[in-house]
Amino acid sequence: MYTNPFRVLSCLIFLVSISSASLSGQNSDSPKQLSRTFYLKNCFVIPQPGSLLSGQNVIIKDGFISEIGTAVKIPFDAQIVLADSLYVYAGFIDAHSNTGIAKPENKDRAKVQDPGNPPNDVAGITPQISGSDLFKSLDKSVADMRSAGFAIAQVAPRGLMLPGQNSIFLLGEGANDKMLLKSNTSQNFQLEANRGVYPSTSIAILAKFRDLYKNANITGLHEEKFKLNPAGLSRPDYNKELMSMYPVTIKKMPLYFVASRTKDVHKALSLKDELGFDMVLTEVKQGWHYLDRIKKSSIPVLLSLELPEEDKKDTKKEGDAPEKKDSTATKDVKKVVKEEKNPEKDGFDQKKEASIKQYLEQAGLFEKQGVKFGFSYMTVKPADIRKNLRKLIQNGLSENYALAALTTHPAQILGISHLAGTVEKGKIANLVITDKPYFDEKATIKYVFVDGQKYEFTEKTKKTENKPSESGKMVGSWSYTVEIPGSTQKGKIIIKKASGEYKVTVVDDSAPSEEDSASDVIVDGKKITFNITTDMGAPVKVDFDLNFEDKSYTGSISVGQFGSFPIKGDYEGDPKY
Amino acid sequence: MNRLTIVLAVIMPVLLNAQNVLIKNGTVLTITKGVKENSDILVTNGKIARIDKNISAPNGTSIIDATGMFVMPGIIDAHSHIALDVVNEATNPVTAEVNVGDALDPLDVSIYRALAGGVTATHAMHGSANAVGGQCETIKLRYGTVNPDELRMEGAPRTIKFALGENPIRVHGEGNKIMPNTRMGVEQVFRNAFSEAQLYMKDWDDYKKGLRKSSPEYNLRNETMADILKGNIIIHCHSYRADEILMLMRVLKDYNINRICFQHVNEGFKVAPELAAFGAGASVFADWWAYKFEVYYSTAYNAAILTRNGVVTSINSDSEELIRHLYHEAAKTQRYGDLTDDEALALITINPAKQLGIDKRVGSLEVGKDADIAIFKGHPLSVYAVPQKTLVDGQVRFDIEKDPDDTRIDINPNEKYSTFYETERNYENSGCLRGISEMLMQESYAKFMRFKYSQNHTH
Amino acid sequence: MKHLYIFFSLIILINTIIPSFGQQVKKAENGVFLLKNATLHTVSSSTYIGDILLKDGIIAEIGKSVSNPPNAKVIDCTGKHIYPGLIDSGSRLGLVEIDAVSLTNDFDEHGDFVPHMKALIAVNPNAVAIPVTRVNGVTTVFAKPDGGTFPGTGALIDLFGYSPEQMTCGSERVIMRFPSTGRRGRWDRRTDEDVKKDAEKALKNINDIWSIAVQYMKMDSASKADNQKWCTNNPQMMALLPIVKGEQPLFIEVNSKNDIESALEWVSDKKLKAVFTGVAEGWRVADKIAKANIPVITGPILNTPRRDNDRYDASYTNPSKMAKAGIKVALRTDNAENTRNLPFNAAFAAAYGMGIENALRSVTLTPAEIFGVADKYGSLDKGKVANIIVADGDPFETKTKIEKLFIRGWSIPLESRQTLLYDEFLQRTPGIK
Repeated sequence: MYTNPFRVLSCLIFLVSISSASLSGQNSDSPKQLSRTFYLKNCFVIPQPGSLLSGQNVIIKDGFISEIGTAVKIPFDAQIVLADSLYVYAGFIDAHSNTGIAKPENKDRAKVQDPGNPPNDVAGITPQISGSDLFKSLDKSVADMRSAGFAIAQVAPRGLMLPGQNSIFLLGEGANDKMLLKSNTSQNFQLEANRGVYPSTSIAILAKFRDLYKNANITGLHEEKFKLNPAGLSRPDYNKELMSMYPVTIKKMPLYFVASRTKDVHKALSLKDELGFDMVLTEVKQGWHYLDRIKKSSIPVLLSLELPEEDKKDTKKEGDAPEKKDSTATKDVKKVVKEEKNPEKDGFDQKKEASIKQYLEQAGLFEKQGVKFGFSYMTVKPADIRKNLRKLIQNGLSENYALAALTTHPAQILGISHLAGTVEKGKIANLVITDKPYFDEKATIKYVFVDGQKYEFTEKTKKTENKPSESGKMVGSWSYTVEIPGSTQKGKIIIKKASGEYKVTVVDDSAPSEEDSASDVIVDGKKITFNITTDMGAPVKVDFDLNFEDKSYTGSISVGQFGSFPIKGDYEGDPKY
Repeated sequence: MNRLTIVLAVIMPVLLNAQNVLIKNGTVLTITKGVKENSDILVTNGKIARIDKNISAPNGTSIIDATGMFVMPGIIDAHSHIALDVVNEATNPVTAEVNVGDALDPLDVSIYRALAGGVTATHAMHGSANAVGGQCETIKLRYGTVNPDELRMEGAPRTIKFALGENPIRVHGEGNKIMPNTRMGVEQVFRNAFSEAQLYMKDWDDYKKGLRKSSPEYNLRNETMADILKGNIIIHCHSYRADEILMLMRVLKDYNINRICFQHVNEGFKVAPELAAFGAGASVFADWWAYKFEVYYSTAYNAAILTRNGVVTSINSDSEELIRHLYHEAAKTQRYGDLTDDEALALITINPAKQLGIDKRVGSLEVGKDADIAIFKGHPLSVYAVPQKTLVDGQVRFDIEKDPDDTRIDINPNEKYSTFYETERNYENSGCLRGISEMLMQESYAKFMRFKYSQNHTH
Repeated sequence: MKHLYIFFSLIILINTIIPSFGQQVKKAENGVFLLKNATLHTVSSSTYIGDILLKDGIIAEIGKSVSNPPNAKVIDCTGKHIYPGLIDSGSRLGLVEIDAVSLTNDFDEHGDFVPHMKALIAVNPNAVAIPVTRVNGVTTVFAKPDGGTFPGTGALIDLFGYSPEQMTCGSERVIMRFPSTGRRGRWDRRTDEDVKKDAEKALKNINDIWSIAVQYMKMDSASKADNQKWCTNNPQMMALLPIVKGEQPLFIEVNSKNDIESALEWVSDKKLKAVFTGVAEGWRVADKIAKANIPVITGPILNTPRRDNDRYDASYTNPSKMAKAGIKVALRTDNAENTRNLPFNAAFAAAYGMGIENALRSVTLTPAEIFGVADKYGSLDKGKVANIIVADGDPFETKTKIEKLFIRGWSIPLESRQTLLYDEFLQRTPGIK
């Protein structure tokens, strides 16, 4: 029998997670949890999209919703949750993502002898891999999704064309195996290739898939026949890949086809028509061209919540304006005038805006056509989810449908409606609790319950909100520490912003009077790169590459040809202008 | 799908939707039935219904005045890589199972640019990295759709790409250190692939006849090779040198295969009598040569020599640049070899149609054929000719009078401003080695490639 | 009927050629040639029917009627058209034999700053592509290195001769490729930032080079003024000297709108004479180029548009749009083995707005002016180098046959390896049996 190496691995992780899990009560650093019973008093409950009950009390017991109503009996061991006038929604369901699956390390691939016939794992053909063996409840991505309101996720292994099978997990911090709701629920297929080995392109992936599909069916049927009566039949070879594919060929398991762009959606629909498997379209970003076809064949759809960036041109202008110094201001005005005179660029921008609009309106369009869709979260950042949902709502999606796409629809698509998706007695106690209606601009999530376990979110410090942009956080005086073998160097990095340009100076503690001004300063989101030239007998260029996170940063410096060293530091205060 | 219609209407506000058209009073170059001065062509439901003088327009017919213009059949490019997202699966010397029809790209703006050169159909081909490449797709340039299926030319015969000489040798022999590393090896790759397919067919025949109980393994590669053996697929073979052309004809003879068109075939002129005797087609460049060693001994008179020796010959582009002026490429055979007007025009119309097995449908202006029509100001063989209108199935897909500035259908919502390409896109985006250019960006090759992008050829 | 006639006449032609194989190769013929009764397309002035006398490598006489010197070969050109030889203002002809065989590539030396690499040194007078090119009426090309920022110095050469000395037209020009903010191709996956950064770095590089070149010039003049011998070995700077002194224009390869604008600023900042080459998006900024009075060498015209949102005919119409804005425009193929397509490139420019007359000028007299050799090249005028073509019609028209070709007064056989292969294989012997 084939032993999955990951099973061994996940056992180890299991042991580790027990010893470190704070909520399990095993950790002697914090007091033991008294009970698994909670009482939510006087809240607004949204049992399912479209209805709202006020003055509700909810009792959670042993991981389930045990009571709900205006008058409920409060159990003696209930812990009271301060939920007065808060909004209680069903915990959101992430229908498809890689939540809890670590990104593989970038290991150097061994050179394949014959690129035309690589081993299956190199080719990306690993349908036997199960997401249930890879999921780690303590992975940061789990906490990120949970803090965005998600209590359940169907997780896919990472990989190439056939990365493996999906499993449904609760997004709690419990042991990996305990969080498993359903394993091997569906197969994944995507047009992702390993470069340089067969199949290296979408056309070869599709050809290979047809081949595997037909052979999986042949192999599976053969095995069944052999079991009944082996006489005259050759003994079946055990082929784990084909046997894992076999349920798809007899419609016992749906295939999740990752299809972002219009052409991918077309490929997915064509392949389904050709081979006849059950399919779920996932990560759909541009699927509106095939709306009719999707509707007609009732194919479940998961829309990607990653949306194109709208042009921030206008807001940027406003934001930058006050900072302008006189001389540069006139220059910039000239530039603006020049740009406005370019009808060609205007035409280009108009088309682009129209294009963006189509992406944003897709969800609303699907709703109008009555296509039940959920969302998938392979590419969207958890922190953007609510923002993007609001964008979709501004562009024609109703709030009720949006909520359904977060709860009831994915529950149906995943076949777990009896367990989750609504706030009802007897369902798993997965809840999202907000201070204002969830889609309200100023709403924040106060609590998330997963499997009856409470996760509380204190309001984030709002200090960063005043800053105009992400990169605004970089302005300031920062300490630095560079570990160079044999010594540690410390000093200050001062980042200023004037007239929209960043100025960086570096002062080393060993020579506090000498300031090095940096050149080639480039800021990209939370990342800044620059270099200084310092005298070490001869001029040597030092390249800095720093990534900022709130009040600290990490990164690397590379010093001429001497190599690259880690650097880190913390915020020390405003820069002195 | 109202939204889509609206969007397309914004993009192509101009194009006539009617498939009932009367083209009035042009000089009609029928190709197969001579030149008809001051004649009309009536198109009904996308087909040519009548060619005559003074046809009166039935109700609901839109009229195109072609007075003083030349009307010819839509140009057919027997070798193209436009409208494709993938060209090469370059990992194996035999990849008969892959099909570029799975990677059609109706959004490629090159389609519009080809229409603006009078082209209405192309042979969208797999590249030349492998001895047996992938299957190809004959498409019509119905620009304006987002649905890849709408490009397919319904009922066109299946075709497959083969390749000889330097490209498969460079990719597999030099690149991956496997056979073929020589033209000897290339031959054996073919023989082996065909012989494997014969064995495969036998296994399945036995199974179907009940001679064996267990099902054989399914193999799409062998299935495809078997279809070639059965005569269901036309081979289009990238080739240059005379010796390798003879080699493949011998191999095909041994396996009883007779449907083949040689592509590029720069040294076809040396074996023109043999090509004619075999019944092989030849689809050539007008004048490309010297971009690699195997095309050093070429001549621009190739098409003329082949034509004069009775080989069905076409002129192709293999390039998103050349495809825009195939009428001019065809005219070069008048400078290099004195072909007549009809002979020169046949090179880009009826002859490629024959090579693709679609000559009953397109390639000439005849009653009953598809209304794929190109209208020129100036004779199309004149270097000063300017294409005016191009119709596919009677539908105007290019009209110089109503030609919008920006013809993209699909706009990348994340593109900042339009991207300027320092080099023409040919380098990577068209041509036989597309998709493996990066792979070939190896030390010894980098220099060549760097300059290829200011050039037209990567074939 | 006409068709059959041509076919039979070909067979007769072939049959007369075959027995003559083995006879000596045709050689160029020198002498005094009087071409009579041709339509003379002078380019510099009017077009008229007249005579032209070629002697000692130059046009000795031209006019409605030229008297017949005693030793002249008189050639009746009734019904024929005579044009000045066509000039391709940018090609790698002679610097490469076979693209993919890197050892036959002589246009790209190692190093980013090698302005002292001279194309004239490496041009192979016997490149197979040279006869292939000239039989289409192209008599002169600017053979240029290509590669790094300063890839070298190109040379204007005539396409006949056996040594650099015999081929040079006496005009060499230093090339600089302006830092590009465009993409090198679809495979170029640099971020926008990286593209910008690379271009800024490259711009800084050329600024540094320029300031050193200026210093070099000062030192050089100072040493000359002092009458001192300056012992130095700096061939790069030597090569830039005529540019810095303003004696010669710098040929700046630049293509995208943004880069052209930056290059205009750079040129005006450095106060140098410049010619822009490439200039694919000249049409987007034609007024500015015209205002700066910078001549342009553009091409290939048979080229795809450089942006997806460009009109399909952007490359075809670029020359005419620039010319209409008042820019002096010359054309190039930027090719090597198919430099022979220069007339067709010009014809497309003509068809898409430029007109035949202006297009003809852009491959004859205008390049001669840009290369500073208008006193010797570019038109049918007395005293100019006898580079002329005799055709049965418009040399841009595809069908037209070039019937005679003179370079430096030599009558060049209209033969190339490509015509020889035609002669040999039209009717192969033995045939199939």
